Amino acid sequence: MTSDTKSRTVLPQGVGKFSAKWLMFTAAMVAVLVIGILAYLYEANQGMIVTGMANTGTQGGVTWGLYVVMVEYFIGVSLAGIVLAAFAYVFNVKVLRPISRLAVLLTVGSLMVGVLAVLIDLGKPIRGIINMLLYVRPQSPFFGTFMLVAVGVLLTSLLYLYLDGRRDAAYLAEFDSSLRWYHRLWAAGYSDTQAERERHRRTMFWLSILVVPLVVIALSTEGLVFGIQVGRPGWFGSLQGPDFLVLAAASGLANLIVLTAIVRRVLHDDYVLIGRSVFKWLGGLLLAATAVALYFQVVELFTLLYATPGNERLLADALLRGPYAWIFWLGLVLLGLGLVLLVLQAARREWSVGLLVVASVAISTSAVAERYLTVIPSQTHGMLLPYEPGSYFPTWVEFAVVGGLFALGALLIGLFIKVFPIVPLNGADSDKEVLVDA
Amino acid sequence: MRRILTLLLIVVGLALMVIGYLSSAPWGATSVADSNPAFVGAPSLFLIGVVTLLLSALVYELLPSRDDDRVE
Repeated sequence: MTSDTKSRTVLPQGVGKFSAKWLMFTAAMVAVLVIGILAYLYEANQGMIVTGMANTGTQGGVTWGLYVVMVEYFIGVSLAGIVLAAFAYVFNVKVLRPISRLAVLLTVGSLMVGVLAVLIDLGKPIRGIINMLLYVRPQSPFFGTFMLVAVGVLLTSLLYLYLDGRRDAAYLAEFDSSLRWYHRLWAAGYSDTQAERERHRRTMFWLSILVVPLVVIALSTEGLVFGIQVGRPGWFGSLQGPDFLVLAAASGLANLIVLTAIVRRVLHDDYVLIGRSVFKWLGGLLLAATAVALYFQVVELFTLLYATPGNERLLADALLRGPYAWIFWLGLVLLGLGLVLLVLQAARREWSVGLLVVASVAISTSAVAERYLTVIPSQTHGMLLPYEPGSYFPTWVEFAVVGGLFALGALLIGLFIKVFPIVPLNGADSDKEVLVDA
Repeated sequence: MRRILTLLLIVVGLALMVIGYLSSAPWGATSVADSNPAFVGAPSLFLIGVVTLLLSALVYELLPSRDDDRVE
């Protein structure tokens, strides 16, 4: 790092500058978050009766409702960010470097709200945490899921975010800004010596190597939570683990594309900080993940259509032409639409950010639908005991709480962008960075 | 010092993970009623092991060494 103190006070990428638009966005998100918190407090006070959930079978309801759907979705979204950043680091894919911090931030944000969604789903979260620490068994997929997701992957991602930002923090600490104390704290004495760089390279390499199997194990066990339940038609099956991973990759990449497009807009970036090739890479990766996800869906569809045995038939009917048909077909159509848009762009070798965003939103919505269909119908229509089929529709409390979780994630990312450069700087060379007024 | 401390954290973290994982299993249990971990609280050991292992990365990067004086 250069030893001379910067006399400038304007930090790059609009850091430290809280514009009116940003304040409006933050106020809106805080409002949604407050409504979510109030809804949760109401739920905590009145009990789970205020949700649409009820006992399976005897009460014809579901014990895992919208909260668990969103757990699956958020945890899935978190996969792509950290894996992409690790991939870019290990294989030195410089083209993805500008979005590596954003990718890890997406992982951290979605993991945090995912873990919160788990806790919210528990009627008594504190008791759940204590019992997990005392009694959870390694045979249970929850051991892998919560131990590795909530602690392992989240902590690794936070470490990744922190360590990778030290160099930029040290550079920003040289600016005479109101955030100087914060950047100094983050830099923690970093002075950009050759030894420090080498140490950082080694740490990041091993963290990258560690995080990939960690994520694969954690997310596969997330799928196994359903896949190993032999007494629940629709859940039991060896495809649940890989299916979960593939859809997680697709939804994670889709969210990353949308987020990258938003960041580009916020920074008024004309492909200087985030180049066109970033979108080309993300589009290509999303295309591959979506194609495999669609393949899994089609395989599942054919299995449902052809010689479905016993109780599986009831579930298949509910999915294909029953109460869940609109979600099933809408999800499939959206996934297909997303894939077609991606294929067309790949065929023309021209990637439009607008079309990519449309495809990403379609794929991400489809992923929510797929998670919903994974969690809910097997509880209402997948019973081996002779109960009547049940039903489930989330109440306003659940929608408000989930809205609050989305708002919290958006707030985390929005706040981060204002206190730290979301696109990594080039250390001492960052004087050459385009200073944008966001 | 930095390397020794980092290695120590890695070894201790891994050891805690293995011990925590193995002692979380209900060894010798013959019925579902007896399905608690061999040692109640063993899952926490596994968790502490994961945290210790990952903190080694932080120690490795943050602890200064004599080489840091050579500014490039």
